[in-house]
Amino acid sequence: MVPAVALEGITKIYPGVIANQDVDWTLEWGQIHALLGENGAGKSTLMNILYGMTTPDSGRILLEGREVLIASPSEAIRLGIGMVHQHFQLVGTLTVAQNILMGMEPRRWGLVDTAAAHERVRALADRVGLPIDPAALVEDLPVGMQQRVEILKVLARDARILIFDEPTAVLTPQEIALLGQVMQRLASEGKALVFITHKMREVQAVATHVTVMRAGRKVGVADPRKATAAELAALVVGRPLKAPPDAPASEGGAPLLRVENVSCRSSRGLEALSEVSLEVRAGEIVGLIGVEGNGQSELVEVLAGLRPVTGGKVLLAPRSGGTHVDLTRATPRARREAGIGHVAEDRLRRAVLKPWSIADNLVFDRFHLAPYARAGRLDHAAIRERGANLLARYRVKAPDAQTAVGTLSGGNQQKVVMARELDDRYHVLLIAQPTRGVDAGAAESIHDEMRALRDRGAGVLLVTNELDELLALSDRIGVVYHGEIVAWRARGTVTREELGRLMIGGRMTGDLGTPA
Amino acid sequence: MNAFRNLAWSLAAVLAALLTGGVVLAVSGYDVADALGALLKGALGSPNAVAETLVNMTPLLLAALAVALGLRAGLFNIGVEGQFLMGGLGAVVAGYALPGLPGGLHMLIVLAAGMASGAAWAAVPAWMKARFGAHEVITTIMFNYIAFRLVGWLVRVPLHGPGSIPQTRYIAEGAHLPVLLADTRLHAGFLLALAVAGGLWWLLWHTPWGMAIRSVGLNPEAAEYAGVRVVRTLVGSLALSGGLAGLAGAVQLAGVDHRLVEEGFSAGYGYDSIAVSLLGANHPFAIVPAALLFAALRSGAGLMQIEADVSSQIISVLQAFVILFVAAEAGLRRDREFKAARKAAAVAPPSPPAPPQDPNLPAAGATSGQGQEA
Amino acid sequence: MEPAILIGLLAAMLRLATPLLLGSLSGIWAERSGVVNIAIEGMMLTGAFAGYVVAERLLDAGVFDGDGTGHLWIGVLAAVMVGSLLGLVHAFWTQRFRTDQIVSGTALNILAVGVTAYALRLVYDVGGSTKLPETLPAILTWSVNGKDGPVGVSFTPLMVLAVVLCLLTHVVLFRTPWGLRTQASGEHPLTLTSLGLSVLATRYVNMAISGGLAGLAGAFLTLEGIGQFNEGMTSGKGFIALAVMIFGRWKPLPSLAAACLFGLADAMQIFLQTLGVEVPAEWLQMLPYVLTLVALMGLMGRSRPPAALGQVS
Repeated sequence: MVPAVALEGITKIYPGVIANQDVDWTLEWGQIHALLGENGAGKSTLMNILYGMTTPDSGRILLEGREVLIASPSEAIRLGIGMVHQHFQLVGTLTVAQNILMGMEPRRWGLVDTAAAHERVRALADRVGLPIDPAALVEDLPVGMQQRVEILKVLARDARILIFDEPTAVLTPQEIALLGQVMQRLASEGKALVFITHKMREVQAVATHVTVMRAGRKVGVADPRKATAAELAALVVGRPLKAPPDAPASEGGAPLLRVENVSCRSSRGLEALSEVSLEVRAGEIVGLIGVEGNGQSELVEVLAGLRPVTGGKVLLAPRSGGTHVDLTRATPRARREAGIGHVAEDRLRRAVLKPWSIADNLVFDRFHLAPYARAGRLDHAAIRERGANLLARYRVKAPDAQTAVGTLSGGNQQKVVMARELDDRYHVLLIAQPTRGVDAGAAESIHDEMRALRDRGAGVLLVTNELDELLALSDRIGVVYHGEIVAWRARGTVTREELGRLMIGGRMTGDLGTPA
Repeated sequence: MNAFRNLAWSLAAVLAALLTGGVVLAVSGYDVADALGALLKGALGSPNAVAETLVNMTPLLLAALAVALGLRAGLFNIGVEGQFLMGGLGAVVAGYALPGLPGGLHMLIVLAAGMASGAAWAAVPAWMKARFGAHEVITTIMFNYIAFRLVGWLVRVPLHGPGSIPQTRYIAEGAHLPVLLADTRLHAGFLLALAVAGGLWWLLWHTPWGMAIRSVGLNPEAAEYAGVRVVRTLVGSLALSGGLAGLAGAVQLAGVDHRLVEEGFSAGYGYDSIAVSLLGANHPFAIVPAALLFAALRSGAGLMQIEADVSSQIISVLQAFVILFVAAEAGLRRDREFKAARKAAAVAPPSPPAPPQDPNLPAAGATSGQGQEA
Repeated sequence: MEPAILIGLLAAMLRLATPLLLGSLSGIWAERSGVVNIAIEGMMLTGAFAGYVVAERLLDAGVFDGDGTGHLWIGVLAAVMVGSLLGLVHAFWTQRFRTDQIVSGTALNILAVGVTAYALRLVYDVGGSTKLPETLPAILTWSVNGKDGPVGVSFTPLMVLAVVLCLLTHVVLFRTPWGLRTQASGEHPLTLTSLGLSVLATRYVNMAISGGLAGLAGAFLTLEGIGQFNEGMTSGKGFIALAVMIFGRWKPLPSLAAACLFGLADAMQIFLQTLGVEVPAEWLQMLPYVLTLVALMGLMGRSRPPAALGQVS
């Protein structure tokens, strides 16, 4: 049988990195083909080439045996290729129907025929079994529904080859299961599906074929129903990963950070947190998990002083001990001076200045303090010295500390942030998504640094979307749902399945809202 | 230094802009050689012409430093023209209302009064930005129009000096900036402007406040996160930017005009300074030669108008071309650097893989006003 | 108050609101597609100049006689075309060279001031211009008899056209495929890219429309207003139009109301002067600028601009 897609000898080079080197790859009709690999392994580049978002430097693309040039997404769409993007390509201020039919709207006298458009979307949604309200504004829909709009957008253009880019990153376990069913149904209709992922579990759940990529090359193919997760992982990383240390949960010491009945609003003015209380003790890592958008990001911003509260209190024990001080209305600077460090979840938006050097970024939170500032002037020698020291200690891959942070990889940028924040200036750390966009090797060393910090007696509040990371690090786990912490569990007393259920507001048991 | 390499590239863009200006002259039916000859002669043809060029350069340099400081903090201060005028107003009042002060002291008070008036005039839009998010581009322009009307009225009515011409009284002799070169108008303000350029460089790269300003200019959200007091920094730097513009006005008043007239005091220095700052990539040192170039154009334009009958307004056209060409050159340079980096990567694959860089992101330190967003 | 005074005020308001409405529509077309256009001021000024010069030259050359309006309409067309050209330059610089949109806009404003002043001297050898014998005549006049003779409201062609264009902008922006593309280009341009639709083409076309509308506003000032061109005659109207647009929350119909409000403030200023109120003229002239500042303070934080506005693409 002629394969749906055959890529031959694809090579693509970006400044400083070979994204794809000599990749051969085929996709058959009816397959659900997983492209597995770490960040930067070249999966997305390969699919961007197939979708016409970028062109290869060399190599051929064969569609049903015929060589094609795909110079643009419109070309790809014409050829029956569609892409469901990880970052939804949706206009929030337009309706579902307007988004799905963008550029192919039914018209009457030059105007968009809204009734016909709604009818078409409804018919399509019924046919593929993804019901949706065509008149709803996209920005009002939950994330899972927004993804549905993305999928319908692709299907409305009669795509027969569907590319899913990290489709599960923002979904709840239940939504993931539903997506799996949709994908299986599409495959059973004879469509060819590719999905890009770095999660073994999902590969084993839905994929019929898997191709593993590493450092721009195809390093193996496997049958996901036969290969074990460990075998796949070894292929992905290129070496076996060490198992996380299985230490007992830390009991924790004196409470350092006390959050009492804190409420706040989201950027859109809706209630994001309602009367959340928690404690972070010395020498423990408190992990919070929840589906994105349930208030955990806002909680971190409130604690860092970047978002005002509408009620409640934030109290911090001084490093020297003694009574808690009220920081509810303190500025970010005052909180840092009181000893709260913060690893922001969006690195490039908040945590680093890309044009600045590593050394300057490493004093971003303290350049106004001695020894970096003396008598109103900057001591560049002291700044350089700190840069060189931390560069070595955190093994940041860069020529020297004067290198601009923007030229580093995501993992190395994150190491710079960690090196700055996991510092003895702070005895309470707010750490959000510490390994987002970071490769597995760097993630390992970041986790080690977090454990070391905890062991030195700091209190850590960890917010993450990665269940594995949460389970590997946290001494206590809180589940955030609809702006509340709906359950607390101690380390080792909770399963992934139970957490998944709690994250979508499943039945809660016993210890609601009280620290374990 | 990076800024100087950028300046070298910018020179090519300036030449292209001047060439385009020449084409405009030719199309208008002028003898281009005659016109440029007169321009050069007017700018540099005699010791006095050189002195006049430096006299023109002084307020231009100070005002451009004001624009650059704003842009470093991510603020586009288009209100320099109005702040310049308010600086002149503060200076003239301090200059005639305080007679009998010792000369040197009076001069300092006049300059300080000008600087304070400019700073106060800029502080209001700064506050509006910090408190209400009102965009400084529109608010500072509105403040320009208000300043023109306000000063126009003040000079016409309450501060009207003796005589029928709408102008204020002259400032005391002791408040004049001393002349540096006999028989020319070149005054000590020129040296002061050079010193301020050095001072601004020191402030931006050798003090914690300067570092805070640069961080806010690059990314205010990140600066807030890191503990920088963003509002204070924004308001402070726009006020200081206004202060420098006010100083420019005070220097012009105490060094050249000695009284405030109803119209024509600032003569567009405030607007020209935007082009100068952009040409100098908002770097205090690179702004010095940029200011010299524009001052030469400005002082040569007078003779060009007399000898070749070319309207001196051609200078504004040239300035716009300079901004457009320099900005376009920066855009092309980003493309070039991207392609070069790609070629280098193809020859020697580096071992630690970096993520693909987005070719569409602006390079650091480009003419784009340091990452400010509208 | 005598009704004649109110009618006079209404007439002045409509006259002063028209360029602001056209300017705010210019801003809407640009900003809804994601391009900040602070060069409306310069486009207006250049349009005012081009419209005047073309009409005046045609008359002077005897191509048209002073009785008809043909030369005026060709002037209007010239103003629109020159405005569009500047709009395309702004689009080219910001999209091709990825120049900061504020920088490019500022350069065009400086260029407009320089070019119009330079060309004025080139053509007429003086700093001012002579008055055209006629401006575009009213197509409908409604007048009443006041104590000093009849007072009326004139509806001139460009005034009516401005309102029609406002309604048209509303329909196109919210009801046509092109309008949805424009909104996507301003909110989330990658949406278009991912569907194979061109963000660049959307922005170029919209900037040409934006420039044309600003040029039309300029033509209104010279060809329907005072019948002559003066240096810097727009005196900030292009910036005030941006405030009108913000006040109208980037929507055409609310902008119509906002333009009337700003026009009324301007009309009050002129009216107080003619009534001989004991306030210096300069103080009254400050009114529109102060109102703009108040509007910006009151509304900037509460209305939401297009999400991708001003981003370097």
